Amino acid sequence: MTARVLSIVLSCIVFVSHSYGMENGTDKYIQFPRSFEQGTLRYSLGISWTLLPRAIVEEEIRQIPMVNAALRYELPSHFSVTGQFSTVYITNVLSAGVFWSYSLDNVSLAVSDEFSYWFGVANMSGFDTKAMGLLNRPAFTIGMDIDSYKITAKTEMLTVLTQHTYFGSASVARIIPEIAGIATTLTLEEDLWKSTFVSFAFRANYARPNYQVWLAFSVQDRWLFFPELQVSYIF
Amino acid sequence: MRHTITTLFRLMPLLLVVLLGSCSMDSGVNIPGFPSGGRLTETIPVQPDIVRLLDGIYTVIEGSDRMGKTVVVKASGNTLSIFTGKNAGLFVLHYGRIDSALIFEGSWRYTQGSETGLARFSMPTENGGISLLNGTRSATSFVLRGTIGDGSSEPSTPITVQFDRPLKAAPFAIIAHRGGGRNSDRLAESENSLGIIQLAEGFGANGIEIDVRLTSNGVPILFHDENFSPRLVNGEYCIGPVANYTFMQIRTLCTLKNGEVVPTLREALDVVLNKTTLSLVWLDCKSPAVLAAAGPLQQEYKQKAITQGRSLTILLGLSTEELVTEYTNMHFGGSTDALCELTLDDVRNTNARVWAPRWTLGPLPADAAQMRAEGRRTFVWTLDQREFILPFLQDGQIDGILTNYPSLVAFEYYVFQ
Repeated sequence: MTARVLSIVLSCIVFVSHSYGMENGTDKYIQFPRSFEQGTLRYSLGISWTLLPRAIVEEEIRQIPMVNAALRYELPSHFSVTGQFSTVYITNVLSAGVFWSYSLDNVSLAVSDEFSYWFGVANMSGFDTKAMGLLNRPAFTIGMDIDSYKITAKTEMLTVLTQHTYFGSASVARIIPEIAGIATTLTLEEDLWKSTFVSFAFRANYARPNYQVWLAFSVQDRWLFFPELQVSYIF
Repeated sequence: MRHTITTLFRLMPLLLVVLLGSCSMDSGVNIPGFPSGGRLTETIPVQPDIVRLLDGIYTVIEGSDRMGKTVVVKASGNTLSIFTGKNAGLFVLHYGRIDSALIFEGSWRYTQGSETGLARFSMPTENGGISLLNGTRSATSFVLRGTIGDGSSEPSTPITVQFDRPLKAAPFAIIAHRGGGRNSDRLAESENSLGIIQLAEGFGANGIEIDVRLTSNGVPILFHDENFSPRLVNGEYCIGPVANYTFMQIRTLCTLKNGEVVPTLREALDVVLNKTTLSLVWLDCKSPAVLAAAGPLQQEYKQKAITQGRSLTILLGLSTEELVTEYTNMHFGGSTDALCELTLDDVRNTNARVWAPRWTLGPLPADAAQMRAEGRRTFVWTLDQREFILPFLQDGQIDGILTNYPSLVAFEYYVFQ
């Protein structure tokens, strides 16, 4: 049922995007790996849904909706600094990184690295827990500019650098870096309607689910597939 | 080109739907067996009591890259299990004897992964075989030598383990979740099935937790979810609320994921009593109405266990305020055994024998000590990773752990000094 609703919503958005996308030719993008005017700040605000594997959540709620904010500030020599913040109240992720891009005609490439700090707190019936961790996410990005569409494919490696979990008077610390997964994100950025720039992204994670599930479910040290959908408005 | 792009992105929701479906599936792990029954076909039976003399902590002499430096060897039922700290490995071996040598054959698995293979061990005469068959423990001489392999290939990697010390005798409940483990761990038997209950001891458990629901005609059955769904059952017409189906309809329309019937609570308690040596059953009652049906069965099987000279505790699990209220209203307090997951006051008001806090509260040594002082026990749920298990063992005040990986808890409990 959930999948059907999401599919309908996304289909409608894409349909609308197709219908109105050509009305404004101005470029505005944030994920596409092409540098823009030096000193310019672009940012986006959106929502994402993470769909957790049944192996973890069983019959419980599978979706984790998060509010996302992202920014990119253009530096000289095709460098950018990037930042992101995602929150679902009890779990929050703050990221910062550097992005270098190179463009050739309508194809653009980029390499980037981002550090993410995630943290969460739960003080409710049956819970006296908090957790935090540091992730590193080196990535390679390729993008194609086709008509007014900016299509970006980004593959990143997820590395857990540290992780601390506090439960009551006890705590567990993991300080040995380990590869926790890979993720590929396919993003479409376009002028949806009269300079209303929107990005749609589908992200496929193959990873040990981490900050998304730290609170509610027993830990599983297994590599699992879980998808994410993101829709953002680019300012 | 524009049309192509638009089409591709229109297909994205379809891709998502396919992925949603695919990511809910768990492919099974095929536990291999020896072709034609292996060498055990040439053996004669050995009494389980004799094999129990092998119980102990063993030092790994050869093969520590696969087993770690220390393993736990424990006999239960008709199997001998080996628990490794490294990779949370579990060996389940059947046994027999040829002359004065004991032969052990079976399989191993990393409980949190999909790696598995065959294993064959023997205890030759000179390594304690004779001593064992004479019913004595010659501690310094027990050596198990063997080989393990990957997948169904003939075992060829040598393993040697030597007895170091006996297992701790202090009672500690190692309770297997859902009768022995979850479907998501790709076990040979479905969760909450009669088969998984019979495997639980081999996994290292001495108790089980099972989920109890009522059918529409009031039969208590073992089932975790509120609804039948392809996650736990097969059957085209087996879908929706469990409480809407009569027991006969469930038996006709539904089977568990590995093809087993959905068992009744009575069948499950029969298996516990007659086919295992488990000492504890935690009934996770999924609704207040379950109590009226489960209470009499609890009493009946308690009496049967006494008659058989068995030590068996059956606990009615109280996980919600509604269950506590119903339990109190039924005047069960004092005449039945209960486990309460709520506050200490609730434990006292229901006169529950066990307090079962969630692990996310952390170790609560003062509260657990208070429970002990009142003659009650404390079980923590649900712990599945070594780093999270250890603080509770270090605390020293808890009396049991509910887990999806009993072999992991067994290893940590027995090895922990």
